[in-house]
Amino acid sequence: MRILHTSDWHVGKVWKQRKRLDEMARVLDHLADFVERERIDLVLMSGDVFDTPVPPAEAERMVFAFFKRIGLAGTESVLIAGNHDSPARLAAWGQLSELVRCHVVARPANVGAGGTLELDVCAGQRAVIAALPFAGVRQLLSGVELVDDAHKAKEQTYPHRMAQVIRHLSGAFRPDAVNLFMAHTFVDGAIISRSERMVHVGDEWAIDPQALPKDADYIALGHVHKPQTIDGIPAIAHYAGSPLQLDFNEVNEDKHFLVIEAEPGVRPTVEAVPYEGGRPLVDLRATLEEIERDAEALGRAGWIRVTVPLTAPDPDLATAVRRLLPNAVVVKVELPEQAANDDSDRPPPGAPAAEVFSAYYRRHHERAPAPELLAAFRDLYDEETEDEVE
Amino acid sequence: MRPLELAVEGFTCFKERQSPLDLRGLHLLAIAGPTGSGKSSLLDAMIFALFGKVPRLKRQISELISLGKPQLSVRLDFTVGQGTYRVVRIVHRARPTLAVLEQVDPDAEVDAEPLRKLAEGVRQVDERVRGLLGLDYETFTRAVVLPQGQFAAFLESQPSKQREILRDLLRLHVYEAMRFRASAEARRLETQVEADERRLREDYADATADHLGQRRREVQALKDDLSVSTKALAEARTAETATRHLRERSRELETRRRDLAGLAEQSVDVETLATRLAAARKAAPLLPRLETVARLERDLAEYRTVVDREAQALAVAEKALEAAREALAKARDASAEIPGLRARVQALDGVVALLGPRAKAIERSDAAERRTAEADRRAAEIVEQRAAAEASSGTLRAELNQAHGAVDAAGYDPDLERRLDGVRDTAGRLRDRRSALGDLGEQVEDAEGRRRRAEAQRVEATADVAAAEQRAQTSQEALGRAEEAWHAARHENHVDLLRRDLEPGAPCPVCQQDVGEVPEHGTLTDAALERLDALAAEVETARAQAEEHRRRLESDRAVAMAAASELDTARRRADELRAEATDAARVVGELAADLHTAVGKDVEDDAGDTVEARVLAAVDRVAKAREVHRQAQERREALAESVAAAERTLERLADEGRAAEQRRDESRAALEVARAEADDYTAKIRRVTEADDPAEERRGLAERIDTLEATERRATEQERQRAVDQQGASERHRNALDDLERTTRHLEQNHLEVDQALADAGFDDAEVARAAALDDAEQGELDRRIRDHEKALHGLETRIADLEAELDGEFVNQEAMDAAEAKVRQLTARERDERDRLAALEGALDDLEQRVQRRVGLEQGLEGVRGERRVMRELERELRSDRFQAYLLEKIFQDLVHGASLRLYELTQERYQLTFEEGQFRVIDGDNANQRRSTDTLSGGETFLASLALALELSEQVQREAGAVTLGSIFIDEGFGTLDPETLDIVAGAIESLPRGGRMVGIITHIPELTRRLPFRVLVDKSPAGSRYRVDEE
Repeated sequence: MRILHTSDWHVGKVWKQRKRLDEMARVLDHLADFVERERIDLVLMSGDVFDTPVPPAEAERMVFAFFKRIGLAGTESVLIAGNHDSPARLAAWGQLSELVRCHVVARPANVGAGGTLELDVCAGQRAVIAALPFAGVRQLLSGVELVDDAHKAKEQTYPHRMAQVIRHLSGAFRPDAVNLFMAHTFVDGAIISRSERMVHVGDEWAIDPQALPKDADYIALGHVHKPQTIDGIPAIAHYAGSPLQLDFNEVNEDKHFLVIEAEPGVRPTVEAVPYEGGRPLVDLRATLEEIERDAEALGRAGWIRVTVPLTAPDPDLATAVRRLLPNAVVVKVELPEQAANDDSDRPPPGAPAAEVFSAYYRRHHERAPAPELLAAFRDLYDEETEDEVE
Repeated sequence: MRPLELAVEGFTCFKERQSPLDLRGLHLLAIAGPTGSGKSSLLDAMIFALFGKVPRLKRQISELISLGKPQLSVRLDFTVGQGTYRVVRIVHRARPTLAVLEQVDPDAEVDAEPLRKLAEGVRQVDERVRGLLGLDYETFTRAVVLPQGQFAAFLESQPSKQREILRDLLRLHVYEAMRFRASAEARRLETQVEADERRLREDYADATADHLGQRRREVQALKDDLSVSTKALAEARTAETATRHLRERSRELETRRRDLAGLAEQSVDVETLATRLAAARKAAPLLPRLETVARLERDLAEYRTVVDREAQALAVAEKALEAAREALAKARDASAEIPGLRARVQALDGVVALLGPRAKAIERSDAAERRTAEADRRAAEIVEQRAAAEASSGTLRAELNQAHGAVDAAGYDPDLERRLDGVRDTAGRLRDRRSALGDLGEQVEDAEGRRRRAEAQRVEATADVAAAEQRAQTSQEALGRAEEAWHAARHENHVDLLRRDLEPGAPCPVCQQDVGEVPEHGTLTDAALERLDALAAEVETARAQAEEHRRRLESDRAVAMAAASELDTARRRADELRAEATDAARVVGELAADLHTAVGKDVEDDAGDTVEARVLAAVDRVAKAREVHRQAQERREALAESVAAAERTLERLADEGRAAEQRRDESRAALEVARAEADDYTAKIRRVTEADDPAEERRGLAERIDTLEATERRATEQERQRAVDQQGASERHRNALDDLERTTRHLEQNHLEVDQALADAGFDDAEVARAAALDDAEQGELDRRIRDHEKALHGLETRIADLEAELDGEFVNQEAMDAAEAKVRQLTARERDERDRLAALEGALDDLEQRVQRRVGLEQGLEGVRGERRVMRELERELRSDRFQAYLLEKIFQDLVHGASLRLYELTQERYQLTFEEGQFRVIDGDNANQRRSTDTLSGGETFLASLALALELSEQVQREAGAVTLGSIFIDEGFGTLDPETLDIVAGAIESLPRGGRMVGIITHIPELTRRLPFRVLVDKSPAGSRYRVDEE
């Protein structure tokens, strides 16, 4: 069977005041064409369909149209909720999307209770899909009930719980089917692009790569925006990454989805296919004159971050650059290093009061305070602050 | 401090009890709810639990109690460092406020009380909480609960105002207080300097070296005088001691001489005592013998009494022996009966062995009789049951016969049913078709009716059109005429008008030929004009009429066209329906024929106008018959089953009857056997005894034998005992007589010896000897008194001789003694006086020396104090608000801006920075060529970010200032309106980055998008019964 793995669309993301919906529309059109042309049997979408819990109507329309189109053409699809998605809303429209073969897993669930799916994907071939959407540790505890949960503590950590849940879900794998695992999570060691929501890629959210199911034919990961493989584990695991370059850390990053050729009991082959339709991000360093000269070519270059070297601050620079380059989303200036502040005698924040007093005295009288004066200051300060504590 | 659990009741809007708010394990939470629902009150409750106060309430604490509630209670569990604590406060309207702080012991046993009380009472608890947190109320409300709105205001307020707020927040009043202290200290030192100077001037004026030398010389002179006096005193004391010794000897000699005279007078009495002592010494050896005689006489009287008592006892014993012997003889006579009794007992023993078997035989016969009666009763019962069962079986058989009949009578024909089944659908279809055919007929008629009506309408419409054409034609003509008339009249009018201006000879305005004669012209009258108007009106009327008729014509034509079309439709519809009806009739005919062929004969007798109705009736009939048949069959089977059951019952009863009879016969036989056996035993017994109970008789006889034997044994024993008693009495009597005789002899010998001894000692009789006797103590006393007298006499004489030798004629009297003592006293007084004076002078000298030293010290100290006073004055000057305080404020402000800027830069992923220029805060937008914007042009989100950065930095500074440990939690009370999606993303990202290092961050917000995005939400709802909260998580 032919499987397509995509992820992290973030449809409706507002980036530097731009929604980028037209780019996403092109990307999804291309993707749907590809699915039809290449006769893909199964599409795996590993979370973060939308950028916000309540996406704009236009964003929803585009996503629904995509799944309707490929579903009517006979392609099954499985979609899990990412940390940007609202599980409640996904669960709501997921009921309808079943009608076009789009299966939504919005919350973690036990085997047989929605946590795993079995699909007749193409003639005579079945796929078992263990799908683990993004969830905090509390939802992982309440959503999936395990046998040894009797002593489950609130203090259980996210990586530990994830390992337990993954072990549980992969118990549904069968030797006579193509076994797939999907998750929206941060695997320790993955390289982030910094356009991810930082709060969910911290150390406390990093799961051990060894916790991923060893007997999966393919592991479709979402969450991290840079496409990459997870090495050092028996199974084949990929982050599909985002279709668009989402921020300037991703300049020059190739964005691609993955096409997997799989059969039960045979190690699958994986091919990376570039997304089409997104505008590239460009990091540019140029003077205003250079920009003026090349404005026409640069104007078609994609989204630009331009850094302009200046000798003195120019309050009108941003306006001038944007007039020349409507696609300049960020205008930085580079000014010569300012002469160091002569206030070098200033004590650091939080320095002891006597030290601050000394500095004051030196500045006002151009000599150090007499030791008696400083001692008297210290004594008075101590007396006064001790009184306060009383 | 990190809150774990909060429970509130009766606290402002949280009126009713609800389950505690569990915040364990939450890192980032939104506190959300509509305005006024009590979001901030949750924070207030937490602050109140810790400090007993809340922000924004300046007056009575009891105002916090919910309306209509007697008290409020707040409990907060929280951690500080590794410790877990619980603070509870209860405020009652009428009673004193309760407050308790406890520590939770994590190692406590499951059942044990895990709480350890740390403090009780408002004051104690306040103090301990402050100590635990390292923060007081003011600092806590500024560092932990960040009123973000206030910081937004801070951003935009005047610089002087900003500095004032800072001064407050960071407690710069410390330095003002220090200045006050320095000032006070300087004043105190001033006073000290003055006081010291005055003392030197006044108290130490005489402490000079000259004065000191003079005093030393005075002391030396006095010391010399004193040594002279001391020597004189010593000499006088020696003389006095010698005199006193001689005076004491003289006095003793006088006393001794008087004592000796007294002793000489007592010598006569001492002689008498010596005589008495000699008599007593002679009487002493006689006394024991006199005692022995008296004892023997007492013994003799005693023995005589004993002899009389034993003689009487002997007589009694002899009489008792006699009686015992008689009783023994009687008992032996009675025992002669015993051998006869034993023979009778043996005979009875043979009979008693038969009693047991006889009783058993009687018991068996009774049991057999009972069984027989039972068997008789059971047999009778079975006979009755059989009669009843036979009757019931008969009835059932009759019913079964009837049921056979009913099955046949049901008249169910399965073949017919099969045939009908084959055609039932056809019949149904036929019925529907026939009904449809009827409908079709009606429809055809309807369609025909509609066609006819359409034809009539068309004819009518055609006629209407013709009439309308006619009318239109006529009115068009009338219009033409009216117009003509109006044109003519107007022409005439025009001509007439021209004619008026004509003048003869002048050219005609029309033809330009000279006018010859002016034709007559009418006067242009109103009547002419009216006529023209009337004609115009006529034209209008005619035109309206013509228009009206034309419209009518068009309308009629449309009606005619519609009628034609209608007619066409009606005709087509009627034709279609007729064709359909014909087809339907044909189908009905065919189906009816088929049906008739198939089952026509079978259903001849069924009701119905048509063959299908009859078929369907037959189907019903057959179905009903089948149902009746089925029921009859079921009933028949049930009855057959019942009959079989009744027969089985009968057979069972017959078996049981036979069994009962057999049991009865067996019982009767057993009865006979048992009775015969019992009678046999009875006969055997009667041959031996007539007694009802032979065993009882035998027991009586045996008892009689035992009694007789026992009586004889007892009499024998008695007789032997009495003989022993008599022998004992006789023995004792003999012994008493022996004792009496021996004592009498002994007494007589003693009397003789005593009389001889009295005579030897010179006493007249025993009485005189007894009187002269004295015991040992009395003799000793007499002896001692005599020897003491002699010893005293000798001692006195010796002492007197010694004293006279020592004095050797130098007798000293009292006068000489007194004179010596007086001299000593006088000299002592003089010496003491001189010594006192010396001590006083020396004291004064020491004092003077010390004061001179002190004066030197004082003068040195004064210099030091003057130095301190200078330092304090300088410090006071430097601490003035325009000097160090101003510097410090500026520095802190710059630190604050710098720190906040770094935070903002970090929070916004390196986009915004904060700066303070030209007296106001500005935000630098790094994405827009470092564009600087003043804070009043920022968007809501940007204001939030800037003020959040400020608040966080200030919180940090306040903590640093207070020296508190790292805060475990922080609460932000956000104060902005709405956010655009992108800023929301940045704001939310900034908030999400706050809970670092396990810190808990709570944000009070009413922005739904922000609320939804945070992982945990405390939702506060308001209702008339008070506010409620709940924790919600995605």
